[in-house]
Amino acid sequence: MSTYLPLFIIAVLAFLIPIISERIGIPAVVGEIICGIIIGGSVLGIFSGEEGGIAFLSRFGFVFLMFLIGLEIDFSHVELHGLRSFILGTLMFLLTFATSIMMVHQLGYGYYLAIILSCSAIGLIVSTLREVGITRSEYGQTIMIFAFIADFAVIMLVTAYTFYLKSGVREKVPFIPLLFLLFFGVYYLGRYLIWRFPEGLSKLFRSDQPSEIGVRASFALMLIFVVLSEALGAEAILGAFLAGVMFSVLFGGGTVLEQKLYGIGYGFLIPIFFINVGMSFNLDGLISGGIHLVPALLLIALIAKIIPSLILAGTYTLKESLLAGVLLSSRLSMMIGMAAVGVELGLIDSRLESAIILLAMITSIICPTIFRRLYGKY
Amino acid sequence: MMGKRIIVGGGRIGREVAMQFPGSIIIEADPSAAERSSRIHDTRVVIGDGGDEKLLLDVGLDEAEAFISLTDDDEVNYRSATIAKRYGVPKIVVRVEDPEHEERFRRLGVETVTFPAKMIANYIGDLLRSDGLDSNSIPFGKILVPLIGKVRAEKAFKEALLIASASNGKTVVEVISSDIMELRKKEAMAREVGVPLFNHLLEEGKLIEMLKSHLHEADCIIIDDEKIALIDRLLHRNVILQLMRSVSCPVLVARTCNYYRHILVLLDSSEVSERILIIALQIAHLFGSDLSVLVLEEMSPEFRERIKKRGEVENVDIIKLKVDGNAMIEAVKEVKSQKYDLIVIPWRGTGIIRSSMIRKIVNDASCSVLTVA
Repeated sequence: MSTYLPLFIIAVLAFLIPIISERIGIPAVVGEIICGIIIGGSVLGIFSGEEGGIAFLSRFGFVFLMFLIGLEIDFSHVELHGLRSFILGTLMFLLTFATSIMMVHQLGYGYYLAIILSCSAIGLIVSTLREVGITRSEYGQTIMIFAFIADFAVIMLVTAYTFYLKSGVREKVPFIPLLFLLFFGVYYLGRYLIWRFPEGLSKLFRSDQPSEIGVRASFALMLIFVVLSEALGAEAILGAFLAGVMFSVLFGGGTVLEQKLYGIGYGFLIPIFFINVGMSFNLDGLISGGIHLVPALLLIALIAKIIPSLILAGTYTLKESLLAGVLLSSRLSMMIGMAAVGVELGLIDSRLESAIILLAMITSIICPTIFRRLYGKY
Repeated sequence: MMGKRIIVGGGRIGREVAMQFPGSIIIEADPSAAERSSRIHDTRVVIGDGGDEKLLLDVGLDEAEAFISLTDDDEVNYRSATIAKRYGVPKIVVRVEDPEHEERFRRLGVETVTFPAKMIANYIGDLLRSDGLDSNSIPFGKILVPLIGKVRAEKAFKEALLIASASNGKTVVEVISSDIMELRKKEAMAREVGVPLFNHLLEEGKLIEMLKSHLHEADCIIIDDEKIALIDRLLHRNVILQLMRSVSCPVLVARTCNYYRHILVLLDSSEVSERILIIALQIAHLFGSDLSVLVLEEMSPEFRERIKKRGEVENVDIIKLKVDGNAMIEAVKEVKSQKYDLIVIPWRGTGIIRSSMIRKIVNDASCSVLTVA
């Protein structure tokens, strides 16, 4: 068998899936997971997802996905809309987290599941808001800030939690501030460089660079953070995420370079990750035990976002606040990623992971649809 | 003989300069103009060509302390300045008629005086179009210059007078200070250029509160460039930024103190961008400046059409700059290119230019910066 055969099949699927899922009206990510399930161990058993090259590309795809999620966190929203929305967003997250903890305890699970359930899906939410045409409105901006804060906080909580658990790295905890020190160091250095050498930096972003120096610089920056965070005992994704945030804070969005990075990510690496998620999906486990968890998880996922979003009712109508809660209930890549991390750390079993993946698929389809249907209608 | 000044060209400006510096020598080719110049007290007039090396040497070019060439012919001015340069005259000032020639004169290493022909043309146009300047077409009706603490706001006051005098007395300058002597001095300066001025005496240290409460009706506040140390930066002890945060009118940080020959405007899709553009166009109109517009975000075709129309109304040449790559970096590149005398930027904007970068531009640009909130 050719070494490239698995990659070939994945590439063909990655190409076909968006075309088909657009027809049916589901996010491409959901299509990728479903395809992964079908060709993976659970159904057809063509691949296990453990093939050497694929496993690595999939892991790197996940790291790169976190980089792009960080890149999508746009601090100019917080900058422009001031402290008030930031405080509201933080409050909303705390309420979400508290609600999840309480309800997850009823199910008999620990904090990690509560953390996972508190996250949001920034990419999906931004694209839904864009479709409805309200990204620029204050309402749309508020929802975005809420989603940013949720995703950011979840990453931080996961990092903190893994440190708490992994006793082996506890002595390394003092080094973690180093990562943030590096973050601010690079930030101030970057700002200084932009001011001092705009000519040189401008080249990184130009569309006509034959050696794609900007893309190379981005990968180098990302991998510095990835390697360092792993060396310090944190998850690689934390480093990638911080590098993405750094990139976004320094340079703002909407550049050609960002488009190129999206091209590499969403065009190649990230579909491999999601198809791989499907391939290692534990369908038997889900059917034999995980499935009954899904309705309960769905309920928690919705309640934990919709009830706290009522804090918006002072500013917006009740319906708008509830709809914001519904849209914020959608979860996708972030939750799936965090579940994968949880399995790796032995915090959740593959049955629960499968339930979480199914939950992500369901919310990512129904929540944006409800929002689109009901927003602006009486 | 020390202190000798040679003036080539005995026109109105040459005569005015000679009057300010007794003992000057005027070289004038036209006998009737020479005749008028000879009436000036303590001034020697020589009839002849200012580009004639022998003549210049005869009147003592090699020992002159200053050489001023003010004819309306750039060629004559260039020739005579070249000769003066060769003989090592320490101070050479030359009038340049055509702005395109300016670079050549600069390369020669001489000081230049340009008369913005377009500014005068716009001014005459305004006079012809209606009864004087239409009050809609001046950027600011009232300019406020606060004299903060030890800062004398020399530059700020100069630029305020410059804008006000270009607005033909339709703009009022208001000065507030706690120093009565300083106010008297500024009053005298304003009277000299015919600009209406109001003074306010206030108690030390109440400036920001005062601006917040009852002086917010100023259309523009002009303040001096402020040198801030790192420690002040860290402690946010930055008067300019404090001021900008607390007022809603445009704030100009003065550094250029001269006609704005070239203005740069940064535009994003925020709500203020139209206002920013109108103010920039009005200033460009007053000074006959060229206006470069750096569009940071995609603009609606209607907006672009409005820009074009507005530019035609104000008779301003608009140069559109396109962003290729990162909008913020391209903006910094333009700001730092030294090509501009005034930069007009949104104080908040849509976040394309990070607010930290806007603050940096305000603090560290090399020319005047006008921020519009």
